[in-house]
Amino acid sequence: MTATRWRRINARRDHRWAHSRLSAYIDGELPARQQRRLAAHERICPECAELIRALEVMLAWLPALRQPSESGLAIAERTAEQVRARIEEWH
Amino acid sequence: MRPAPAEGEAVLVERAKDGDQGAFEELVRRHAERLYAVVLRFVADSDEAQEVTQEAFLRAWRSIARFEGRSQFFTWLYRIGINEAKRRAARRPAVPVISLEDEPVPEAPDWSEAPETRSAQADLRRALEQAIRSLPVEYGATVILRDVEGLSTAEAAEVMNLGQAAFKSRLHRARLAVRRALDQYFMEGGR
Repeated sequence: MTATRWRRINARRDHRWAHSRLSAYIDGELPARQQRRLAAHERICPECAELIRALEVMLAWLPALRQPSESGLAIAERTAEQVRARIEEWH
Repeated sequence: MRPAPAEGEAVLVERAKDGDQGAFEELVRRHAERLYAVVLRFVADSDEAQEVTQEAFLRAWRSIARFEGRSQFFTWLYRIGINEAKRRAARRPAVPVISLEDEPVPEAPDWSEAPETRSAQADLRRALEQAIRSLPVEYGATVILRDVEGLSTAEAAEVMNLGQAAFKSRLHRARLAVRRALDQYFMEGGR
């Protein structure tokens, strides 16, 4: 097998390996060796690099979906009252 | 009797396990808002979210004597809440779900720049919420718990009663599906 063919096979294998681990990579949750391996793959794979970038942008937006807490106190008190009333019905 | 504000959660849980209703009510006050916010993503509207939140706390009260403290109280509570939301969702007609297969959207535009106007930001928020809501509940919950609510992988996996590897796998598929939904949204001009 030529060196070029071997590199091509390795690159495809790395790509398949990397794709399923991208979320863990972005979250910094891979073991150090795998984190380095995937970082090396990111440098040479435009498809994975683009997907990583897209996911990072998306993950930066998602926390903004947390519901605003202006009504939080009202929800807390209303729920406490409702739960108290139901529990007292049982007794 | 209302517990002192600074009373630790472990103390409140122990007192609630002994039947102290006041202690349990304080736990309700501390967790209701966030539980409601999580549940709201899986149910039809705010009224149903309030019902599900209330029902989750009632279930927690009925079974708190059996809570052994192996997990944090809020992860146990979130699990009850999400399971209750799933039961409600199962009773409703099925809604179209977005595919979990990783099929790239052809010629998807680059949407890496943040939207600038408040209107565009509101549209993006709606697109994200719709995308998450269109996932099967067991996938949408991973994104909500980990990426919206900010739980750690360990905490979120515990809420879902999954091992961390299984949770990460499910989370990854869910994130890819949401990303594809955003590709589609931006291809349609961000409307």
